[in-house]
This record gives sequence, C-alpha cells and structure tokens, in this order.
Amino acid sequence: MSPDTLKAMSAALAAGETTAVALTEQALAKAEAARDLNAFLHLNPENALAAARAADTRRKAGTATALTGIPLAVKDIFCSEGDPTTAASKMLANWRAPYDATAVARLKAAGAVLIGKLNLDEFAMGASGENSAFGPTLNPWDRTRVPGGSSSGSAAAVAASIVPGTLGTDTGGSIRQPAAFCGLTGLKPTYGRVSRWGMIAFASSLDQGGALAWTAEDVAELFSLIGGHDPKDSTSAQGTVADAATLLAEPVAGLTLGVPESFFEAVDGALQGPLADAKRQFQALGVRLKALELPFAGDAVPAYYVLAPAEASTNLSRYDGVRFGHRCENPADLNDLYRRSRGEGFGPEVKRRILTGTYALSVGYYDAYYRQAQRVRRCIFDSFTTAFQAVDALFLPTTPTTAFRLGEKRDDPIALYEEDRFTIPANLAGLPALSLPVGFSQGLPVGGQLLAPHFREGRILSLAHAFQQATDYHQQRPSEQGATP
Amino acid sequence: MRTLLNKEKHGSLAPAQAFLALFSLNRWKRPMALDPDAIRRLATLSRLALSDDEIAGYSESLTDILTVLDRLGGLPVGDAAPLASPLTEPPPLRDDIAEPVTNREALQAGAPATDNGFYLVPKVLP
Repeated sequence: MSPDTLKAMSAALAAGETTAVALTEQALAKAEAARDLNAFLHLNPENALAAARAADTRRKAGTATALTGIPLAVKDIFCSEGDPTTAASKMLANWRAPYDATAVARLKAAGAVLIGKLNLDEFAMGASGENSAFGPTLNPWDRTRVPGGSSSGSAAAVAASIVPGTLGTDTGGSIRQPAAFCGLTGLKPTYGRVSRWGMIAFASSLDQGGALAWTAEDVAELFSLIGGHDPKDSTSAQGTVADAATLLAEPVAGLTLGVPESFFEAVDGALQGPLADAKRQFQALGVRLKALELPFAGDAVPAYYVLAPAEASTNLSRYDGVRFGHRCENPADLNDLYRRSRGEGFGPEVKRRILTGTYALSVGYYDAYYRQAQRVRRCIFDSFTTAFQAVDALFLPTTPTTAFRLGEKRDDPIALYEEDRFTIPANLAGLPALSLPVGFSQGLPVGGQLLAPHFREGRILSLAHAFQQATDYHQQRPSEQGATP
Repeated sequence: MRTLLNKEKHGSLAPAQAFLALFSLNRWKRPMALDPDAIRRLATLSRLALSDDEIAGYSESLTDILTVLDRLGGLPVGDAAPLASPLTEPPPLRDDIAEPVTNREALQAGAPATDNGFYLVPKVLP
C-alpha cells in the first residue's frame, strides 16, 4: 500500500522517492475512483497540479516545509479564492469565494496542494452528512452507513486514503464525531485558536476550525500551521501555536485523566469494551485515572440547541438574495424577494434551525430559552474549570454509538441532536478536544475523546500520540471492498 | 420565566422590537405545541417562504424539539451569569487603520444583480 499519512508522504518527498506532482495525480485518481462516496463537491485538477509543480520547484530550492507538496482538501465551508464555496447549500451553489480563508491561505503559503472542496451537512448543520444539498457522503468503512457530520467529506476523504489530511469545522462535534465514525484522529482546538476569517459562519461563539488525519502526529502538523492569532478575526485568541514536535512532546506519565463515569454508562453496549480497554491502555502509559462527575455537562444538548440555532438565525440573515447566493425568479417586492429566495435556497434542517433560533430570540421567550441557555453554558464552563483543578485532562466517549445506517435517523432530528451529547460540552466551554480511534466494534471504528484546559492542545495531542505509539487502531484501514466499489 | 410584554413596555420599544411585538409571539398561550399558525408567524419573522407541507412538518418537529429545550427551565442554575462567549481573555484589537477595499468587483461578482457597483433590488418606494 502506498503511504497515506502526511508524515510518510513528507518523508518520501524529502527523500526524493516521489514528487508532489505524483502524489497529487495519485490523490486526484483516487478521488475519481471513489466518486460514489460523494466526499468531494469540487475537484480542481488544474490548480492542484500547478500547485504541485510549484511545490516540487520549491523543494528543489531548499525552502520546503513539512506540508510542501502534500495533497490536502478542505471542507467546503472554507473560502478558497476563485473556487466554488457552497457550504453544501443550494443557496451558494453558484458562488465562488473572492478570497482565501486564513486557514486556507496558511496551507497554501506552506506549499500544500489543495485538490478540492469537501462535502458537509448544509452550513455545518448535521451529525450524519446526509443534510447536504448535493447528496449524502458515504462511510468508507461501510458504504451503507453515514460517515458522521457535519465534516462528512473531511472524514471520508481521509478514511478512503484519498488525502492524508483535511480541514473541518466543529461547532458541536462536527470534527470529532466523523473522526470517530471513520477511525481517524480529529482535533477541535480551543475556541479562538484557529481563525474564523473566511470560514462561513454557523454559530459564531461555537465555530472552530480544526484538522482530521489518521494520526495525532499529522493532526499536530496541520494544527501548528493553521493555528495562531489572526488580526482579521475579532475573536482570534492572542499568541502563536508551537510546532508539531513540541505539541507532541508533553510527558504523559504521571498525568491524571478525569473519567466521568456517567458518560460511559450512556453509550451503546458495543462501545463499552473498546472504551474500557482504552482506559487500561492509558493506565499502562502511566496515566492515573480519576472518577469524577461534570455537573450540567449532561444538559448540554438543550443549551446548545437554543444557542446554536439562535446564532444561526442571525448569521444566516445575510442570505437575502441581494448580495450573494440564490435569488428567486420575478420577486413581486423586496419582502417577496427575501422570503422566496431563502425558502428556495435553504434546505430542511437549516430552515428548522432558523425557525428554532427565531423562536428562542423572540420577545417573551428570550429569557426562558436564550438567556437560560446562556446560564447553563456558564454552569458547564464552571464545571470544567472545577474539574481541571483536580485532573490534567478528561477522557470521554466521542459518540453514543458507532456509525449508523444511512437514513436511520434522517427523519428524527432529536435522535440526531442527541448524537452530539458527548461532544457539545467542549464547544460550549470553548475547550480543546480530540477524538482518536480506540478500537472496533463489529468492524466499525470506535472513538474516544480527550479534553484539556484552554490552550492545552499539546496535552491531548501528546496523550493521543502516546496512545498511538502503543496501539495500532490508527493503522487499520477499510477493506479494499470498502475502499473501492 | 417567560416574560409577558405589557403595553407600557411595548410603548417604549425600538422599531425592530416593536415589529417583533407586532407579531406578538408572546400573545400565544403557553406553547405546548407550535401549531401551524405559530410556524407561519415564525416563518414571517425569519423571512422564509414555506409550503403548507413544510409548515405541517415543522409544527410537529419543533414541538418535539421544544420538549427537549424545555428541560432548561428545570435546571438549578442559581444566579449564574449568562455566558455569551467562551473566550477566557478579551482578544487583542487591531490598529484602527482604514484599509481600502481593492476587490470590489470580485466581491460583487457573486451577487444576483448589480449595476455600476450597486446591488439591484425590486422597487421599494411606490
């Protein structure tokens, strides 16, 4: 099998065993061969091959970075200049971004080769990848199952070994849940760590860009590049991010890992074994486990599904049929233009969340829902602050189940909302959180989740890296039958 | 606690709030169910044209969702201050220096209708 990790590709490039053009041609061919996954909304062979040729020239000039010449792809919610940028919505079906998102610009500046834009749940609203206006993404491990969402294409493209790494976004679990369903490592950094400039907004106090790859090493490489202050984003946190080697070098022996048992009791029985094994593995690495509870964290779902739709209903008011995006035919007046353009352009789940958010922000219900949800958010934030006085990091399940079947929960929004119950608390508190593969159940990957105090991404990357030095779950790949139809 | 808008308060509302009050979501009875009329009002506020089938579907699903959201009301949050952002420190402000927009044409290229740098909309004034 050809190398499919970022580290292995980078080493092969450095050793002169391959070229950026060869890796890019291979990635484009794999993407074409796996069209049925619907992981990509847009491939850009011409630009990708031009970038690959430039990367090979740069390498010869001796100015290459670890990412120079590596084929990558980004969720189609990141603006990339001149490319279609749709957020998987009919609303933006014909829109091309006039500039690069900061995260995209940093990848390009490092010489990475962006081969295309990846499918997602429309405007990142979903937990299955089925809410895309351009069709669902399939899970490479089992094409009858969902890859998770909303960064569905970001996970499927890595799991199918098309590219070694991708960018996703995580508002309530949208990097970690698909990473868990597809056997990958996925990092949602601290809120404010990765610039939101050029990242199409869903819920501005929760959205955070991050990376998915097979290993913590590769995720660290991507995060160290895209993270760090950006003056273009008014919520961008101060400071830079350490290099990947430093991020992975924190000693893990002697750390105390908090384990909220009530979260583990709430998962499907099929996940219990792998998660229990993972706890034992951490202990074998010299990590102490400490049982604790996280008051209010179990109530994160209703708080999130007030706050996120409220912010979405505001953010998505920009899609008015005037400045960009879909416009209805022959509007009778301005109000008709707004109503029909939005009614035609948005999909069912997006409309549901706009309606929910509008309700929560309405006169008479604002205090009962929006303000109360903000108070619960404060309690969850404080709950983590207290926990981190006793432990260095936390270990939780990522998901309640393994990847479920396509269509299984499509008509049950509440069942889908509950999918995020273990991932949402980190978003509400703005904490860094990472999902890593900790085993398999009936051939499907199982994810475990690590959380750390704000700005301590290095701690959970180091824990994941140490875990992956002692296990081989991250080295498993979908069968040929799964990977190639 | 749901607050009911009274006339005195209504009288001092800013225009946008007065508009919201006009649609008077708060005039509803306790919304155990978001009936189709309630969804129509929300759709009006949201500037969303919905079909009758969509309205019926959202009436059902939003009613179900509200039963989940209503769990919030029973949580013992005490006097916890509302948290709007998880940022632990205020982000740094950039220097207040105006920068010219150099890609106006590119920014407007995605607009449905423009003319000479202006966005075109249906006639507003009679």
